[in-house]
Amino acid sequence: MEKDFKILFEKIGTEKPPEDFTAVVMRKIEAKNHFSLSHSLPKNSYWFLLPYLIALLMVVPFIVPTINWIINIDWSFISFDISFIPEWIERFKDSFTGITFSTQTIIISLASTVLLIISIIEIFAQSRRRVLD
Amino acid sequence: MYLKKDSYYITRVLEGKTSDYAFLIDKYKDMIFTLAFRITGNREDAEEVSQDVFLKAYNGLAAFRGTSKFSTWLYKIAYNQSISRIRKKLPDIESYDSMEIGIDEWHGEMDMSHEQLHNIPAVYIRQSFERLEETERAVLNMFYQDDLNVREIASVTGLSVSNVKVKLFRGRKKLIDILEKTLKTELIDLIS
Repeated sequence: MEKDFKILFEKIGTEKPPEDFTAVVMRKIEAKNHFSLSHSLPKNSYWFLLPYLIALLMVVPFIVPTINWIINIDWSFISFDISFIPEWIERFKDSFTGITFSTQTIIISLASTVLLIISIIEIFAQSRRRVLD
Repeated sequence: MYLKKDSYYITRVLEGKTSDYAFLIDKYKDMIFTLAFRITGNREDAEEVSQDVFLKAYNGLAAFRGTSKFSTWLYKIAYNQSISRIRKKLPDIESYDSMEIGIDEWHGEMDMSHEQLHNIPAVYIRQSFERLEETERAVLNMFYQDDLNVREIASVTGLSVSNVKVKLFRGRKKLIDILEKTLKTELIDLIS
């Protein structure tokens, strides 16, 4: 009887996917790799955290100048009364006296902050993707 | 064409050589596509399911422990994907389950000879096969098309070994039953 059923299945044969099937799947995999930093790195490895760590280290030296800049800004250009903010910041001002900053440091600091935010979003997206996968 | 073992390509992919995954796709695409097609019953769904299977397998490759064969692991993903796809469409499906079958009376014998079987057009076999329940289609396909044993089928489907045997028995009985009825109808139509 087994032989009879083998005959039946031999008659219907196997189905073939489209010619470009492998290419389509590989394109999807490559596309995923292209947008995701961690996918291009070996799995089961924490090396993908390295760029995030570098980004974090880049930001750290600019934290203090940024705070300094916020403290020194002239808040009077804002019309409604937010005087409590500089007063509130004033309390911490003494801690940062003597620290100089330039436009370049502010720009780099802001750029690093943006990079850090992007990195955090990427980490979050990665963790979500792993859950969904 | 595939000179190396699956584990070689898997290791290479895990090391970051993504392009080597194409060897594994090439090797198993027909097998996965056939199973998906047998369960879903149409090429579009089978193609989508097969693509999802390979993408899922790629994403979960690091989790593949190697305790079972890579093909069995792929099969498991394909089976689950196909079943969940077909279950979404269940209200539209009319399986042969609703028809009365005297399984207890059947002893696994066919009324047809080898010659008669050889002469049945493939289209009737396909049509009859499509009328089986989806798990029966999957089990029969794995057993007769891909030569998986009952234990391997149980591991893929999550059914017990005895349950797989029952599904095989029922599937065979139903397939022959439908096939005989279809052929009789065709013969009557031809004569009248």
